[in-house]
Amino acid sequence: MSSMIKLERSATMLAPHDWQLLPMRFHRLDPDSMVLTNLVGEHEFVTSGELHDVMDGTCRDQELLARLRAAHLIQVPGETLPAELLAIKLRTRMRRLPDSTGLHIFVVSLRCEHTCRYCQVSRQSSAKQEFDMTEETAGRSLELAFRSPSPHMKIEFQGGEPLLNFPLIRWITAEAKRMNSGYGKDLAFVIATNLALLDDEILDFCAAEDVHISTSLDGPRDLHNGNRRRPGQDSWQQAVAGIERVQARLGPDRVSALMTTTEASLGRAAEVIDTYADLGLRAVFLRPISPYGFALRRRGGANYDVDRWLEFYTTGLDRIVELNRRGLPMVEVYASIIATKMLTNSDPGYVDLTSPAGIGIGALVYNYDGDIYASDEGRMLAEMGDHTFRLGNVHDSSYADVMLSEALLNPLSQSLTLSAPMCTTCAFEPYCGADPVFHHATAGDFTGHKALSAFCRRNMGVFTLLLRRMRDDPYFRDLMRRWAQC
Amino acid sequence: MLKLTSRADTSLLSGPLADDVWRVCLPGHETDGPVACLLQPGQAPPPGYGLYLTVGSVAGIPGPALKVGRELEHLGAGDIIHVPGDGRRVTVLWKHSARHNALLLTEQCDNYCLMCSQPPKDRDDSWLFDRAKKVVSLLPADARALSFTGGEPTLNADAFISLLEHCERVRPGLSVHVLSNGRRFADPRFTRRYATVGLADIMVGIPVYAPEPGLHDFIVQASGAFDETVHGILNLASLGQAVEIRVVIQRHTVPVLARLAEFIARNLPFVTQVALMGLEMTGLARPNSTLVWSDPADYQPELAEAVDILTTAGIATRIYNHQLCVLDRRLWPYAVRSISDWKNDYLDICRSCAVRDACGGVFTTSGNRLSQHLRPVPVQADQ
Amino acid sequence: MNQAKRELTLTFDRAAVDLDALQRSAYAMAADVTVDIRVLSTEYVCTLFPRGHEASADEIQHRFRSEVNDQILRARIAKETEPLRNLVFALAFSQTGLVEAEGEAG
Repeated sequence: MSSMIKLERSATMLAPHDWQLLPMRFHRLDPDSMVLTNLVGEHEFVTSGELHDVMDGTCRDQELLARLRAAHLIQVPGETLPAELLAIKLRTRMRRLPDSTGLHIFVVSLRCEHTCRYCQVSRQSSAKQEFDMTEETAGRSLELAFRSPSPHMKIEFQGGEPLLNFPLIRWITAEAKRMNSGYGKDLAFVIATNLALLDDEILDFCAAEDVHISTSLDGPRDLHNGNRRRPGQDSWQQAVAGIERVQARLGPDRVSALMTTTEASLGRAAEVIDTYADLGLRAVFLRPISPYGFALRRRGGANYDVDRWLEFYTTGLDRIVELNRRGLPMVEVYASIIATKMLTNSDPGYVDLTSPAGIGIGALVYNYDGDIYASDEGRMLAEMGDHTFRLGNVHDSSYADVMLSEALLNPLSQSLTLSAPMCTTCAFEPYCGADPVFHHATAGDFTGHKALSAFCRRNMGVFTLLLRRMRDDPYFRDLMRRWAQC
Repeated sequence: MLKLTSRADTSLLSGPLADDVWRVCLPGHETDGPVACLLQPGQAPPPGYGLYLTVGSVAGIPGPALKVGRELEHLGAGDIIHVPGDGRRVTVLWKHSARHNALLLTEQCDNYCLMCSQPPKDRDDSWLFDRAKKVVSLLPADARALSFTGGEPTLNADAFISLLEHCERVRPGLSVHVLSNGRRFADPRFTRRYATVGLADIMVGIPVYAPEPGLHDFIVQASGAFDETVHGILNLASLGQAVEIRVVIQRHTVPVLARLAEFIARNLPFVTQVALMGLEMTGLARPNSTLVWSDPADYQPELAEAVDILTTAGIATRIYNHQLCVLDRRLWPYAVRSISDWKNDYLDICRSCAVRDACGGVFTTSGNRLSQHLRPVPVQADQ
Repeated sequence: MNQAKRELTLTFDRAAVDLDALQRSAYAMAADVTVDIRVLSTEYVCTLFPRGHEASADEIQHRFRSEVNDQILRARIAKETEPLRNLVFALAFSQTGLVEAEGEAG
């Protein structure tokens, strides 16, 4: 019996000039390899020739045309579905915007017994009680925090070394839970600590109140201790012992570690990763150093090249992928945040990679003295004498005073990537963010000049690295798909 | 495999039957309404029934009686049958013991899929809706689920909505699965009528075969189908209605399966589930077999990638109509025994298969158009 | 070695290239060159002042011309797609007609 076809395949294919472009941007990854992105960051790889043929209407590659249609990069004139789907996806990506502010950082003490090379907080000796937050300040801070519309509230205790004011941590946790009965928010608590002061009382507290621990682990012992000076020079030993203790008592998923890159870290990426792997830590956040506080003041301390950091990042990422191939499921956190933005319509909520920036609307910082800052870096700038990002004080500012202040709205409005020069035409705009504090500190204005911005250069470097790997390695592409859901 | 229809010996019928849809019961149970009493050979027939059925002799039965062929020996209490007024044929519409039951609502369709297992017929068969209403009214009390199929059930909008409203009135707790190409739901008013019926547990199963119109429209043989279908899915979602996306895996869909999975994950992530389905080589799939046939053993990598994309994105995924022996082992957890009882069967070689009971077998309707790689799965020591 | 200041001059036909493309290119390459643009009757004259000494004159000119071509391409795409871009944003921020199923999407 002959086949029964009413509609030939050729009738549903695209003839020359049958299509039109949908809003798109491009970036050249390699001499002949380009990546196209649509309004919501979906991407396709093409050659320059292919792009020109598509733009000229002469492309005859049906498989390419079908790919571009499916990825909402081209459409047939008169179709309405692609625009509707793009609009839905755009809305979905932005749906968390009204849910400010999710992260509230409480600086419960400025005291610290470490003197880390890159510390952005003024060091104070452990004795000075006047650098501790009071219950009154904490209470007023909580009142302001609960005014945020966000259904989620993460309270992060920082310092100095927050465990030096452990009684207040207890108090704030209890008070927040009590106040929450009137709000019904989803509460989470984290203590960012160097773990040197961890004891059973604190562990019991964390177990009972479901508190997570975040700590610093810069890498192998000599690297970590070189960065983080402490009387007794045993910061690494304390950190490792602390991590193991928390894992044993609370479980492996209750402690996470962050590393900070310094000059000394460069060239040792694989060792850093292996240190994390050996400790059973399943996530590594390969972060750059920010130019604040001691980092700026120390001669040659941490002003290294973005390109050298990118080499470090590449090596670290490759090491993590290698470990995954061998069956160890480690995640590189920065890549996973970007994967979420590239491959889904979800917002990972990472304050340094959002547009508009996460200052104020993503995170608020309540300093020990009640001063409110738009971000942790904003607080660190203040320690150096620059109060640009101080939004008020809990003792005399209302929620409206804080959130509608010029100090916040001005940099916020300038942080929209959709309207910043070069960002508007950048293919990676849907993945990127703005860092008005960084640009203010380094360039003197909130937007900066992206061609001269280390923030831009670093992010472009990571985006192009990840895309090339995804283009060339199916295993890495699958890994990014998994990481996108983390 | 079950036969569902049989000629009937009407020699003892004295006039036309009172009804055309009957529920089967055993002697001594219920006599009100269109209930047909099933007699075993030699069993004494209690009086008072409007219809008696037997595979044995009809002599001495105190009412209208039909002798049915041996193929309907499987008839049981709770089954629902159709018998035309002259009694010449008995067809089982609903099988009480079956895992799945589907009611055909029409053979008309505005698509013409290359692999359609129920080729469209352009004739007025609206009486099928009336028959369906009768079936729903006669469903046994413990009936849980029912599918409505076609053709395209929504072509006759008023009859379709009326049938759903009837379900909601007489069987509000029923789990209803509608198989539809989704195109009529592109009309927001129709979708609103559908949603307003208020059935608590109803889902529409809608096929999407490609992530863009070119290939999808070709496979369903209708220009503009993709556009209407996806609009329909969006409209249903906007009214909170459950949608299942069904993908028949055939020669044209295999190369785009992963991209289709990505499209669903990115554009239609709200769907209740995605069903990836093996081909039934019947209907139009037979004359089009060179166009559509793809041996399941050959497309496991594409299938695994699609499942991986969907499940990583958190979308419930099921694999239907695949034999376990040709399915990648990593995909076994997603496989469902889905072939309806009346058309499934096993091959002789399946007798020694370690997982025969978990496997749905093959479509009898596919004849000998089956995978070249079917073989019994050996028993493993670590199983 | 002679550290004389380098200056490279490129001209562009006004009929083929918009001033906007040149300005955007100058902005994008600000880390490597500063650019002075003069407008003549039928052409633009761009004088490039490289900041460093690693890249050769040829290389810098190639990169600048490449950048200009890319900016022209971008401008063309933006112009062609502007109505659809506006439509997508209008739909995204309108109140009606779109899926309100964000709850299910998580």
